[in-house]
Amino acid sequence: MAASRRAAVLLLTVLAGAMVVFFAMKAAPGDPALSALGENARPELVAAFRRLHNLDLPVGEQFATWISGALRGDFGRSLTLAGGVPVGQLIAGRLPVTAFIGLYALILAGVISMIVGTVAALSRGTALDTLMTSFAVLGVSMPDFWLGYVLVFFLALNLPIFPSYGFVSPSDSLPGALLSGFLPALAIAAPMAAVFSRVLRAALLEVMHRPYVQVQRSLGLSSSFVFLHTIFRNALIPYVTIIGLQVRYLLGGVVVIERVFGIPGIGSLMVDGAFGRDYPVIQACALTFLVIVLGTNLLVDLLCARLDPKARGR
Amino acid sequence: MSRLLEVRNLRVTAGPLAVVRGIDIDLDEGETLGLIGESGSGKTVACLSLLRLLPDGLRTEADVLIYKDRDIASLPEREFRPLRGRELAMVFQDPVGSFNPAKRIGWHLRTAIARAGHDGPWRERALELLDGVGIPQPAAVLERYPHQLSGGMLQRALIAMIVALKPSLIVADEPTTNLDNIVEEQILALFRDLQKRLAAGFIFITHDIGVAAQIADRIAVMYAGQIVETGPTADILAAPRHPYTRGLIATANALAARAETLAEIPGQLPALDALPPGCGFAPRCAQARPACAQPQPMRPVGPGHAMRCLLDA
Repeated sequence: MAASRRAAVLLLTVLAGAMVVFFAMKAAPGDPALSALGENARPELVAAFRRLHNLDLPVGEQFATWISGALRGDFGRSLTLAGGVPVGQLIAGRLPVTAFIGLYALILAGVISMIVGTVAALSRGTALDTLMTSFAVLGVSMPDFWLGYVLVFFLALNLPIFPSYGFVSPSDSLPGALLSGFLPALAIAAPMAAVFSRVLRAALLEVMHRPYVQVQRSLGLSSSFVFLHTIFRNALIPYVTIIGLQVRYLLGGVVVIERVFGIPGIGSLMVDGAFGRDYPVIQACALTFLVIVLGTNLLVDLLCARLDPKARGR
Repeated sequence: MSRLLEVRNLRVTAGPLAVVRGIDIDLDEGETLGLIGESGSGKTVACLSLLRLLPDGLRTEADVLIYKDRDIASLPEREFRPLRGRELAMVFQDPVGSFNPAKRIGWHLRTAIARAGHDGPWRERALELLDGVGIPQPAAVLERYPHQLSGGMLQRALIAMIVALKPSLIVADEPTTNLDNIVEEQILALFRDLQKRLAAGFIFITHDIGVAAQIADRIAVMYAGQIVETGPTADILAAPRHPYTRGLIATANALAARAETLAEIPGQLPALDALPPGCGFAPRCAQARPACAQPQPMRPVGPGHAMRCLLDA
């Protein structure tokens, strides 16, 4: 696909997604003004609140105002937080934290699954393979919030290295962030690592039986060379594709796990927003997640095109 | 000429099933053996077993397995691996599947050239090799990915890689089967050229006796895991003795003459788990007699010509 067409599709997807996010919020029951000011607020106060947040405008106009602001980075003001903090400012403050945790989890899942998937494939049919595969099944079946509590219970409360709650921002101390982010990242990573390992194992086994592997062996190339340049290299294509597909689950995990571990990221901001019917905050968080998912998918597409010559535009 | 390969009683088994049931191969330097038989007769498995390329679960045994005066059956894998490519090499049936789809042709050539221990810039050597197998515009081909080339071009490129390795024994497993007629002729011509250029012995596997006639000095006909007839190509073509060989040649002639009624051999290969106790071909043979139920040894029927049949023996 040409770059310009891809960009146009991306922009349209963001717009469509923004519409869904906005109108879903509008369709939700409850009056944000009443939930912010209380059921018994004075009518003139409610009217002023509505004017301030454009709630008195027709819905279409509200959307136009919101989206044109959002495109300029202005997401409106929070309905609940003190002083009506600009939502853009909230997002900007919390995005690095979430990006850090998400990336941390992704890297952990990548490292774990590369080891588990490769070992399982190379020791296929042995007890080691069964052990690895069983761990993978376990990983898939454990909900991340539950795993989060289990990790806190077993690791943080028994070992003094990992904090059980709270988070050191990577901008304050990178080692501190790596340490305090390890358990939450692991809780998010475990189910993903399980899926990735299974995909990698299956892909490796599939490529191992391709005729070109036999041809390379017939040339007398060493098994490590053939594994690295041919078997692993070709198995990377489905592996990277599945990572791209899993990024949205990663974000779902982030929302829950930030809550469990008390990490001040976009996920917990979104949950707080939902409890307070703080529509601008929810919308901005959802839009941010949407852009992250689309951006990652684009990245993965580009990476797959680099890995797979057949997928490249001719 | 010196003896390159001597194989006695080569057997390949998959659990209780016998896929190759004791075949003998003798090959001299510079000689080409045509190994003929229909799909499932065991010819590919027999050759893969020579290079130890069989998948797990298939077991190879032989009474004698001597390559260049060396007993290669007893070599551990770490000593056998260096022989692959440099001494014994193989060209496969599916040229498209023979290449790593993620890498350019240049990478494949560079890998083969490095494996050959070539010093100096690989690119010049690669261009020379591609040119040597009749690939036009070799510099552009080096930049191509496998899926961008035709089967014929890929087969040439694979042959160029094998030329780089200068092996002494080249097994070609139906290298032209997946190619169209014109390309098949070109690849056969390339093999004839290689026969002259390289001092190698060839085992050319084919189901097409016409192809074997063009390329082989000697022919061995395989049926149900055994060699049923072997002899000089001219003798086999002019005077086939085994009923199965006769059937094959009659079919080929009928095809060549575009006969109205095809002379076909009735029936099909026996299943591996239901091999007849004696001659494997007896159930399909018009001349079968009670004695065919006994195992048949190879019987000499002429100079260098033998068959596994009791007819005229």
